[in-house]
Amino acid sequence: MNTLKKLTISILTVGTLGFYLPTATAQTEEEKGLAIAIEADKRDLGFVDSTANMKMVLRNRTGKESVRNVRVKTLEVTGDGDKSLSIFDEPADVKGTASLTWSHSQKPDEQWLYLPALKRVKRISSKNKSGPFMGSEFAFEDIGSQEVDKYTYKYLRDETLEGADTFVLERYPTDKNSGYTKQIAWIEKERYIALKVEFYDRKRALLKTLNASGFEQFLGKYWRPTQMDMVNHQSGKSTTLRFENYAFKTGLSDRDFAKNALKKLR
Amino acid sequence: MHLKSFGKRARAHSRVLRPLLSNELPSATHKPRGFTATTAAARFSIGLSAALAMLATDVHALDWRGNISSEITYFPESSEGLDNWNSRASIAADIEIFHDFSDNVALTVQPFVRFDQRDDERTHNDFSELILTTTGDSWDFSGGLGTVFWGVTESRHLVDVINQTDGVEGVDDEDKLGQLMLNLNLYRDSGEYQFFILPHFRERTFASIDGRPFIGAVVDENLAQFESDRGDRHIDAAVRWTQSFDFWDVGLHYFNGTARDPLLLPVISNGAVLTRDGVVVLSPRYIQMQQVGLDAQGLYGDLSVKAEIVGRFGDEIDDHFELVSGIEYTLVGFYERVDLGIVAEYLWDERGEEATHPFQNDFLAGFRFALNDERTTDALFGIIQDFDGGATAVSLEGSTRVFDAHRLTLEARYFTNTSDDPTFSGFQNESFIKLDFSYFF
Repeated sequence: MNTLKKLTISILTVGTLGFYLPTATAQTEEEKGLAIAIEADKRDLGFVDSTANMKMVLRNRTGKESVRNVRVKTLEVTGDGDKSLSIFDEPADVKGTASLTWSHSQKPDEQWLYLPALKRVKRISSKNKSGPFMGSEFAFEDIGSQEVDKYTYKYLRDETLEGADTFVLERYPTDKNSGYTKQIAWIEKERYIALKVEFYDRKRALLKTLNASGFEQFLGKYWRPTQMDMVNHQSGKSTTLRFENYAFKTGLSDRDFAKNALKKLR
Repeated sequence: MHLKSFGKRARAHSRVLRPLLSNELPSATHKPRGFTATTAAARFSIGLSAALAMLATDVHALDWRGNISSEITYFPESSEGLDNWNSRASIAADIEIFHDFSDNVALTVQPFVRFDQRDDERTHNDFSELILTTTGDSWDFSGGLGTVFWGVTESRHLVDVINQTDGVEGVDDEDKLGQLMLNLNLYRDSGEYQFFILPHFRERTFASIDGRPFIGAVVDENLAQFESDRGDRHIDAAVRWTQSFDFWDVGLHYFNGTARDPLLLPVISNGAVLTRDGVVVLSPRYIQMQQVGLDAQGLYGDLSVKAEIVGRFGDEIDDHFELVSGIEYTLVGFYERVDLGIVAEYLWDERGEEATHPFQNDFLAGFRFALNDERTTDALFGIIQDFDGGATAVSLEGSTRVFDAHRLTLEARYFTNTSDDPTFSGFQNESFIKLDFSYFF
């Protein structure tokens, strides 16, 4: 999955419940949590491809801002993880840099970076995704592919969050290299979208909170946030992502997500 | 290493340490400045004018990026060259312009120009790209001046044979001159196939006798010799296949043509070695060679395993193999947000001390730091140790963003124990520190 989808899906981190589930009796909290995640994933199938402009605003403790502009493109891959491209437009000293990720459900993701000054395509490690994305408060794993089986789940409770009925569930990363011991997600019942996620670090302390807002629906089906705010409670820093110009089924193909395409990106 | 090698100075970040080769001696020639580059510039200025005229007709499909840089270099020790100076200033501009004529025809133009306070040979210009590309469903075809990078290792790029090195730009061989080419690429399930016809050879650029680093001799480009009767008009050719597997990226290539790195030969004149102002003059001799090569990178979690191997064969060289192989290991979150990359590479040449470069039996240890801060600060520290001659070369490069679109880069190189190592001995007094301030747009 690409950056864009990852973002939305991670946020979506969801599950199913609703009408389809057998009523409570035989279901454990773990089963219920997993069912919610599966339903959220299912609701995002079939988008084929998507593109969007992502603006990142990084804020330090004193409120000083710096801006990044990234174009993100995603290609849905049936039966495996999606392919994604990030093309960096700002800051100017990184303009032309691009990263290509082929995420996989059963084997390690493949990732390449294009360095325009050298005209070099470099294969890079994608194993440890706990590091910051472009110096922001989003880690690579926060905006990475959010396959259902990258977590185990536990349903906690129903809760009303700012007027919205939500499921609250915990998810535990299965990746040993994750920077988190757990996440708590608030999933809106009606649309199966994640409105809020709390991230707990390796010491089990609250590290960050993510809020997603401004959801818009595309193709009559797919919900995407136009804004995501991540606050780091330990450092006092925060990052806002704003998405513009979402487009779906734009005609992208495998050719656009090939390693050799990196050199020709504009 | 994630997205840390950003930017123009990615050329600095992705290399480790690269002292001058013995065959990259500065030049003491007094011929017109920037001969090679200015001829190329003249040759293509008409093309550029035409291109810009076309660009002006449709600004919608036009895109560009570039930078203007200013640098100050300081050499703490005095040179043995003629013009004895310790510091120099230089400015440069590098602009890359793209224009799409349609969905499948595009033009790339990338002029470069530098002005140097001390060295007329370093004041030069070039087009790293002036190339038209047409793209099909599973192929593309390009014609013009282009720049192509092959390879995976950090310390030395053995398989990267298409472009000539711009020897006056830096000491690490990573700055290249545009190469005239016809290039067809085919994309198949079985891999990517690249075919090159290279009709015009570019000679390497060398610093003048006023330039630094100065290592005791000068190369006179006017005395260039070619093994081929056709000189720089010999038509070179290359083919390459690359494929990605789950854990490995692999490339194989074959090159037939003029070797990019010249032999540097003393000139005998009236029974004596030719000197100019007391300095030995060398003639670059460009030989014909056939090169076969393999490059491979395997990725196992945070461990990257790399190798480049070439075999070089020709009438005027001892047929031999060369190798660069090593690892890069990344510790994500080594300290808080800081990532640490550890690079170790071994460099080898079958010819041993008969090799025409200093890296016949050398080891590189490098440490790459990425701070992952809002300024995208990074640093690279490296040591190359020569096991035969005992020379040591140390480098430190670091850069950080200042304001919104500027970058400040520090580069320091220190050469020591060079006296017993013929290929390094010239560097005895040539350690330097360089500060570069660049504006990006």
